[in-house]
Amino acid sequence: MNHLKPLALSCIAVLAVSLLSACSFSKSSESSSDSSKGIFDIASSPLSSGSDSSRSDQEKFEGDVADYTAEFVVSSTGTLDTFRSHVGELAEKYGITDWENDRQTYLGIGRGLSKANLGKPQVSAFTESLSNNDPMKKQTIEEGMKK
Amino acid sequence: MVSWRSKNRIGLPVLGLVLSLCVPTVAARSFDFLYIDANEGSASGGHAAIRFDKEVFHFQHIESGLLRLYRDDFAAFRFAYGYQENRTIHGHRIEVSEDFFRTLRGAFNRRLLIQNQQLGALQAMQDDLIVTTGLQTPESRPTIELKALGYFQDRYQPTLSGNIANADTRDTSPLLKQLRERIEAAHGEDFLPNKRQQIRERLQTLMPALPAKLANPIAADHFDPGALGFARHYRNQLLNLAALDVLQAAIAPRSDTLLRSRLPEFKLNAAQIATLAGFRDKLFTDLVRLPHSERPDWGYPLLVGMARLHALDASITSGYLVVLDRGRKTDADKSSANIDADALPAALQYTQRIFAAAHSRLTEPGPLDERAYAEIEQSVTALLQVIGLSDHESSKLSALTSTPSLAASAELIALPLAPDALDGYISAVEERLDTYREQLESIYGYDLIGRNCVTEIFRLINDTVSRQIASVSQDSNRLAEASRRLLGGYIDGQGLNMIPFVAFDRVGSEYRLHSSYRLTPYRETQLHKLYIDAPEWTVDIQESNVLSSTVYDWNGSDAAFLFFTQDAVWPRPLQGSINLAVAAGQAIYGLLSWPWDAGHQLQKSLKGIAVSVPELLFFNIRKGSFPNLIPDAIQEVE
Repeated sequence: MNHLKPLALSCIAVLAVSLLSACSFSKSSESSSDSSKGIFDIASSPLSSGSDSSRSDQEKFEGDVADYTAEFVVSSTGTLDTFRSHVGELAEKYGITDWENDRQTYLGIGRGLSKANLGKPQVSAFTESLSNNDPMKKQTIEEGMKK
Repeated sequence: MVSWRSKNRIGLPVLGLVLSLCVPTVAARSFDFLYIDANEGSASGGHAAIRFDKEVFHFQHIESGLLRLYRDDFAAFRFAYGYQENRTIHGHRIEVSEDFFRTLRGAFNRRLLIQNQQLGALQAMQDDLIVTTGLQTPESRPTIELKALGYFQDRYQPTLSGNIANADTRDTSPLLKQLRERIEAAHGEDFLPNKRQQIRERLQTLMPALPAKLANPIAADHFDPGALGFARHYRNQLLNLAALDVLQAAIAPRSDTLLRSRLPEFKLNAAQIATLAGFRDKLFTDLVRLPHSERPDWGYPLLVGMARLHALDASITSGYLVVLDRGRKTDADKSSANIDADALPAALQYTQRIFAAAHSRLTEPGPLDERAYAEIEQSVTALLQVIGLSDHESSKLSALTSTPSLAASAELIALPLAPDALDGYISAVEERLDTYREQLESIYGYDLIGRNCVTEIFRLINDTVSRQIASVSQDSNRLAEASRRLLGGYIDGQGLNMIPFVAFDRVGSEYRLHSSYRLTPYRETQLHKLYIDAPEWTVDIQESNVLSSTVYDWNGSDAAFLFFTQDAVWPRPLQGSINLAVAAGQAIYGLLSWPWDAGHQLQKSLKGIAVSVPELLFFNIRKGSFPNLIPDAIQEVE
């Protein structure tokens, strides 16, 4: 059994060193609003996924808006100002400043409403508030609900 | 670690194959459990992540002591860990049903959304403190940063009349005059003055409301959208006011915020000019609508749009691309990149390719949209930054902002609040902030053994499994049974499972494995390329140490060392002892240099010693890193 002793000691030593800093350490701030990226950050560079990068970003943005909408509409708190502000933050992460003019925003809202499984009156009320009675926006939300 | 690796190189794929043959083919989808092996620096204990298609979720230990969930593109994740950090990524592909795949991915997305929301709430409280503390001392002319205002001014001093300081010395903008007229035509002549008056009144009547006490502590699985804080309302109104004042004064953007170049690649043909003109016209129409928007921060897109109008107009009239500068100016932040003179050609080639891809949008059929235009702005900024470095030995490239957000300092407008009211509010926010931090700490606080990147993955997987059981049950037997049905096995984050490589081993032996893979790190990939043209033994000798290596260049991130010990096991103790001597030498140097480097060298040498000692016992942690690698490296090796 004595020959196992050095091995056990080795394991303990390695384990001790390993445990000094398990998991990556990130210097990211606590805030979720840091919107800068490195010049060679390939996560959203056009080369990362060829010419489809924008399309993929569009889908991701739409998905994020859908997830947020689905949570927001079933929560008991939260104002439309809060909703609009958060959608604005999400949009900025994907390079959009004027999200009210972006089709994916309303598709995402529609998908979120569908995911939340709300009743028709609640869906209508939310759609009216956000579309500002713009028929194109309403139509896009409905389109998103069918996705 | 060596014995584990050697065992698994052969064992795991075989085991995976055996398992995949034993399991009925009910599974329709798969997700991957990733183990990223150790390296000196950020994770000498390894790292773990979970991958769904092209997305990777992983928990990272952040500066405040919390464990934060991140979602990255797999390509970016691989580049950061496998190339820049030179670490091997091992993956187990686990078969699950389509339903469970979606549920599990949804659970990770939901956790991300909730945690971001909670950290955003923390940030909002900190902003509340900054603004209200500033409002306490109006005589000191406190300021806050307003994004995108920097394209027009470097400092904004709001006045009652709306006049902008030194506006008479600035170039006037016929474009903004035209925009103002269009807005007046669309919404009425009094619209803009009335709007400005409304904003000022809203600002003056803003009351810092005491934050409502939380009925329940925050939880990792409870979404709370919260409400916009006082500082956010204040900032929005000030931003809207600034945007209107810029429009009213009709000042042109500061010339140094527009990037111009007469390089041939920026020359535009007639079709490209027509595309840009179409985008400019659409933007113009959208800007007319914006002051009427119900979004609380409409001043931001208005400022960006007004600045972009000028860039577009300059492009159309000059026939060369002109864009807003998207480089981050404020700090030498974490996202900036160091470029050595040697790497400049590759950097140039990479940014040229990005530019070409973005530029091609100008010739695609259909109108240009904001996303495509934003890519052009970013790629021009990146390319011009790299070109600008050609005269320097080595330099930093500033980070790019995801939207145009060059900030300017804006002086706060004093509010008619009693000092006692502000004091009371500040105390309440401070108290709430402390409570909130404590609550965040209790649910997300990093703990080496109890809550790390591995334990949280298993916790979230098992929580998701338990939600699949009809009744919420604490019965571990039922959970294990459900987990076996859905995943092929059950693993908790207890005991040694909290160590990344042990967890990976357990996943391989417990879950329903489809296959396993190993993604080679950057240095190893480069060695394989060298083996093509030279005998293996000469490459091995040449690349065994940092002095003769052609692949590795020592960088400031790594502690001093001489030998790479990951390539061979038996010489490891000898090489490790030399590495230890080098680290000890650096420690002596660090002691001497302490007075002027604040202990930086000493700290690095201690890291060097910590990763050299295991080498004496045949274990390897350090691999050498390549932090200045350019993504072109991926294209070359794949």
